[in-house]
Amino acid sequence: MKTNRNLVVGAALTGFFTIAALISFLWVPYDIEALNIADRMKTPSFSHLLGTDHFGRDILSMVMIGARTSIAVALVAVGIGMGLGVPLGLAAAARKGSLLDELIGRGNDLVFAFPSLLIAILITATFGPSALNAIIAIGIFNVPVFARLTRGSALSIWKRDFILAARVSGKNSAQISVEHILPNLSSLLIVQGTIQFSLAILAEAALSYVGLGAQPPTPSWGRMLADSQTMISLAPHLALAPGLAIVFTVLGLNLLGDGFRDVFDPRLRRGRT
Amino acid sequence: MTLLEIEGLSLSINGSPILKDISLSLKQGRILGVIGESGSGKSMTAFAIMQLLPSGSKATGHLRVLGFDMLAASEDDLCKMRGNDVSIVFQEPATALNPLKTIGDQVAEAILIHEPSTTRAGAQVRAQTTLERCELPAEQFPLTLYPHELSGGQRQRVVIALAIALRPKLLIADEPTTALDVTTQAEVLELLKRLVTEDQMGLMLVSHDLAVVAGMADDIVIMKNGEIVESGVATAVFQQLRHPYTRALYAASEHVPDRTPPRSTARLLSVTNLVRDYRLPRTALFAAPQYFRAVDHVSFDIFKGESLGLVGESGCGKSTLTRAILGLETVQGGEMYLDGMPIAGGRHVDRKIRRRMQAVFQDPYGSFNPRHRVDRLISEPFHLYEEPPSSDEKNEAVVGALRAVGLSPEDQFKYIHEFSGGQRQRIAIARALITQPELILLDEATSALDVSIRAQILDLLAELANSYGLTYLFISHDLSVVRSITDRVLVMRDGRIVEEGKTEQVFSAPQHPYTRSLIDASPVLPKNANH
Repeated sequence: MKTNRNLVVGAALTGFFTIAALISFLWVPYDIEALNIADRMKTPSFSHLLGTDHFGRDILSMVMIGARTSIAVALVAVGIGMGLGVPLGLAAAARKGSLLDELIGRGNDLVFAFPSLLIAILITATFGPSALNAIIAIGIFNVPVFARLTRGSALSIWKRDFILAARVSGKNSAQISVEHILPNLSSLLIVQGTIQFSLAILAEAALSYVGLGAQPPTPSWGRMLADSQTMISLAPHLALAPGLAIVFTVLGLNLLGDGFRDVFDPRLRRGRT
Repeated sequence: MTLLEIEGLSLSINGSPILKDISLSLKQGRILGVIGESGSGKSMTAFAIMQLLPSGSKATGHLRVLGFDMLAASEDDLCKMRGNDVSIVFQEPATALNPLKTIGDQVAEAILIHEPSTTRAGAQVRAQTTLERCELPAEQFPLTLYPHELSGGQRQRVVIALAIALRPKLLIADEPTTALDVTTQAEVLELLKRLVTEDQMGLMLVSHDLAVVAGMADDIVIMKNGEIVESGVATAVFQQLRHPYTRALYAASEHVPDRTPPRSTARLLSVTNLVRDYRLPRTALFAAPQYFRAVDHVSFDIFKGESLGLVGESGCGKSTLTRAILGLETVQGGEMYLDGMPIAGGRHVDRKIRRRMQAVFQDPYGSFNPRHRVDRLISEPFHLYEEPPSSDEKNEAVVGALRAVGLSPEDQFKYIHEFSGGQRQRIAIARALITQPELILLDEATSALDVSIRAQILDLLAELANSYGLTYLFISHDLSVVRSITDRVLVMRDGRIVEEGKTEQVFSAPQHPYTRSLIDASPVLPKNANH
């Protein structure tokens, strides 16, 4: 079988940042809590590969530790969204037109009706700003995305003849949803999942930017961007490092999603041999 | 005048050859029938004439329409010709029209594109006359109707009106009646014939159906694997059947499988006064809900070992009836018994009863989950056992079922997309056989297949009925197939059974006027002396 280039490049990029995040637990080049004002806003050099920020902290170390926050927040938030949204969507499609379907549908509308950042601010303002509350806030807004996508696509699959054949075989709607509907939605969910993952990283960055995400001194890519904003004309490299980290993680995840979709679909898999 | 001249046309798409050395011609006022099975290149020939080929296509040879070299023409010139000198009617009237525009606007648009100097009002007037020529009188079918307000046959008339609005010299019809019911098909074919004579057009009729073409065409071209295997004047081609493939097609079209007539008089399934109502959407918030009666007091019996046909046009309720028998519909009245045991119409049917009934559906491409392997697809009905069989037993049953339908045991490890339409329908039959049911409901099971494949599947069904003692309920709109494989037949219309009797009797001496109109509308193959 020909190797899938998307998968390899995607896995390499995602793997690179994941490993950087993991290494940061054991070792980072510099202690990021130690301020060194004398060395502030240095451009990249051998001693500081990505330079230093306005407190003289090593940016490479901060990007590595920031990867932990960004990846963890996005992963858990998308997990919440998929874990709740997909079953809700499947249930709504299986009981189309019922009260349950209406409740799920209107519930989705309700969540969609509020600007997501506003509610996230509301949640974090009520329960206090922290990475956990950011995760919950971002996760809640992922639920209707997955619920709607799942319901819509599941409805079209319910009309297919093989569902009729499964019903003739005595399967109930829950079994059909899990065995027949879900596998046929997987490629769609993987692609949407990677998109939501990148949006979650950006949402975390946005929350941290307004000071409602991870709290100092814990660095996150979003906070680093926010901090660098005022100094963008003096030291553009401060924004470049976390910005590129976000770009390449998101790119890697999208490629990974495309690659997974191709590998998991038996039609495409055989087509490549 | 020769409208269409094709000489030595070859076509390849991304390097793989599609058409090889096609030569044909079509004169004014004549109808050329192009016959072939799926993959024969008949539609590609039609698209090549319109120069509506997919990207990566390379055509060589001569292709002239009204003396104009289509292969060398620029896209601008082609746009001027398409719809003006050459037009095409597609198979599926449901998707050929824009659902957001009125029928009048769509026909008028075709006129305005080619004759921009026409005023909007003038175009509407011409649209009206064109629709009237296509038997859609303005009193009943005003220009302001939308496609969804029309039936399939009426939509196809609008599509034809679109095609002939500018009085093209050459009209191509690609399977124009395949999606239509028999009675509508007869009307649409009649319309096409009339338009050809009135406008002195040339019509190229592309179809898989020998009988349809035989009733229409002056000249015939028979295609196979991208080549023309036989061509000539229609009557001569059908009389002589020179080429073996023509003979094979002809034989497959009127194939009657060998069957032993049933002897048993024991009832397997008995249905009495079955009623199925659908609730229609409310018209107003507090209005009482309206109901549509899809199945209206239907009663019949199926005897053991018998093959019973159920004939009717689309929307007559035959598929609803099938699903009701399978216990997949909540019924509003009536009783059904399988071998004396009641079938409850609803969600929870006793698994013991369900095990004894299986079904094969129409679409060989949609009846399988593309993500499961064949062994898992076929063994799905084992779910009907309280205690699932061991994996050895399961495997044995899968191999047995695959062998019974003429496939090899290794096929169980493949995915469904690796099989052709005919093979898929065999797999569908294997799935239906696996619980060793007594009754199999075949819902249009051969309708999507090519004639030669259809003949093989009919043979297989007959053979399986003999060796396993199966009983069939054969649901179809295709009268010739029903006639060849059933012992008795029911004719259904608007949810009611209007006629019932022995198949030969019903077909040779139909009692109900509706049955008579169905039989009269069905295209028939010309009788052949050599055959």
